[in-house]
Amino acid sequence: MADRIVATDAALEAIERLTAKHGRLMLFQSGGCCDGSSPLCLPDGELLIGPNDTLLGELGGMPVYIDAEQDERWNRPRFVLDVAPGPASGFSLEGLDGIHFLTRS
Amino acid sequence: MARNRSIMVSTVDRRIALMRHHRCIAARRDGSLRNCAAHAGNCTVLKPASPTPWSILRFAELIQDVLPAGVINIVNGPGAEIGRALATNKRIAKISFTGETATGRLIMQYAAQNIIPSTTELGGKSPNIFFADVMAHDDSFLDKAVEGLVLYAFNKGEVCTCPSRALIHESIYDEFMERCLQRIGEIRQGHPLDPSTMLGAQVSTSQMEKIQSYCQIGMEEGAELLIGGHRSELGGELNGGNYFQPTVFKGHNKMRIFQEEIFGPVLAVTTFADDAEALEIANDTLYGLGAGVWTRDATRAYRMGRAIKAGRVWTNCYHQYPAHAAFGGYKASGVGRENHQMMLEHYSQTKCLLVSYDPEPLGFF
Repeated sequence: MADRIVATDAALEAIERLTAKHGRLMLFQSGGCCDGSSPLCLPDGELLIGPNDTLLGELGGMPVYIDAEQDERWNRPRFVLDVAPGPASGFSLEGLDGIHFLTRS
Repeated sequence: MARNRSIMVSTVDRRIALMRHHRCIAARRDGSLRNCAAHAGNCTVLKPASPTPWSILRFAELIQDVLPAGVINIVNGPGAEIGRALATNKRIAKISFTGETATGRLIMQYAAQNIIPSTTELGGKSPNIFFADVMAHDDSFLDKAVEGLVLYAFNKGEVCTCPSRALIHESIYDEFMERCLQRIGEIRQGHPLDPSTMLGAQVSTSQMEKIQSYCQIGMEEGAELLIGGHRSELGGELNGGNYFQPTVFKGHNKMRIFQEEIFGPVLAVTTFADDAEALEIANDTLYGLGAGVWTRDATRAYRMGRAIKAGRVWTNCYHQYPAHAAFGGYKASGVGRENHQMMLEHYSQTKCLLVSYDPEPLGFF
């Protein structure tokens, strides 16, 4: 299956930089409260992936997942990962560098 | 099959409720203090949301003479550095988290690894349902219902229970929305510290961008913009601030603006034909945190309240947060309850001291 997620050049650069700093990474598209529409960038394997999660694709060697029911309800055929200034406020690793990832359709 | 444990709570004086709400919101956004383990006699470490570091520190200053040193400890900073270190620390006996679903899963995972209990509140997309009989009379109850819809606008990026989906009976839609839109148009935006301000600034630039992006999505998926939809330019010293107009879209429940939590003053409105359809739309969501039911028919209010899969169903009111009312979610809105005696139970152990005062042996073997 073709990847359902692509990244902007700026996001790919950020992934490369973060990978050099933290090692192999994973991304999980969150939902709900607070930063709920943001993806969460974590060391690979930090969040246990279950049978009800969907792999959207890989970006720079980094797997990107979403909860399967959320994916069905969001009904986005494709995702674009981008990055913007301002720290991510959750556990997401890029927040330490004063930036945050976001997904667009 | 989950049992429906219904708890009836009568509402309190509205001025007190509003004060409590402000306090609760400040505490929640800054560390879920209302869920605080200290209420149950435990020492507590609070990690406030990083965009809002200050108000909980101010609150701590106010109570510093009341509590012994070390009972409440506040740690500010980025979640990636501090959140994980706290959540995985072996000295933590119970963990509570308010935030988004992926971090909620992480918290529950860390709790499982350390074999400690956890509770989570992970947001919602709360339906606010207005039945035709709210317009049976032109009276103060109708005015209260209009106000109940407009409460969606009370969201600067901190209100998990924002009534962000309004479901309105098709027979009253035009007239009811006309009244609501007029009231929304009168909302005064301004400096957050000005007491006459009704809607202040959004919590961060990234939150503003998110709201703008969802408004764009709403337009692209064909929703009808009824009011707002843009950044507010308030001029003067507020120029360029994170102000967003109270916004209403009309559409249908499958649209993304009805399914995704925007966390800003953005309402998605749709209509329903009968009670069954209202219920179907209300429950057609990943979440189940809050809900509102507005009707003059008490039996309908009970039927709907029982059937809506949400942890709190405000009935002929919204956004009241009395301390004795259980609060928390069904489905992806999380696990456990805040407030109420149930909250104390989350932070307590049940111990059974089974004591015999009979000196004689059982007589077995």
